Amino acid sequence: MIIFVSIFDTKKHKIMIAEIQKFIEIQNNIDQILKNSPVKLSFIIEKSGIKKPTFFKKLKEKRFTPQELLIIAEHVEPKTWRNETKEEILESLKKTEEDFKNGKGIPGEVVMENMRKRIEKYKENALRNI
Amino acid sequence: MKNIKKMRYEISEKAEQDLINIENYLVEEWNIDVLEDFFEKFQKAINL
Repeated sequence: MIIFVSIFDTKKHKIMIAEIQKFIEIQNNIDQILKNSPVKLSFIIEKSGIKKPTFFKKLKEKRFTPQELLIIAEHVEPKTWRNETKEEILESLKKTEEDFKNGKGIPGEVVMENMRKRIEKYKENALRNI
Repeated sequence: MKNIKKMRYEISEKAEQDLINIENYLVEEWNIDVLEDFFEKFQKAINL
């Protein structure tokens, strides 16, 4: 039993070391990672919340904190948005046709008004988070 | 003066949901200014 626990701990320990090594590798290669990213650097800087000069200083010195690196890593790859399958599109068109037949279409004026209200809400939320 | 009739249109619930998804994407990934710009362009396009 003791031997088993010991082996298990060694395995966990190895995983931990590998993760730390990976982190150091990312930290040391962050300039290359950013260079190879299809996402604009200005966008990543904005998302990191770090001021531009500080960002470049940190980049030069490779001294981003783990939290900062995490935010950068979350944004270096563009989000993949799943396209609907042909079946889903057809199903959606069928439902739309039925909705229109049943008078469930949303009038254009209502659509725009709803959109305007949502934008106001987004603005209010943004102000609250400042 | 030409008498231009304003086009009336309706959209489905699914289309409105898609629109909300686009708005969320623009706010989350960019910012409110980008969303407002999208809104103006969308409004213009739809009123053509």
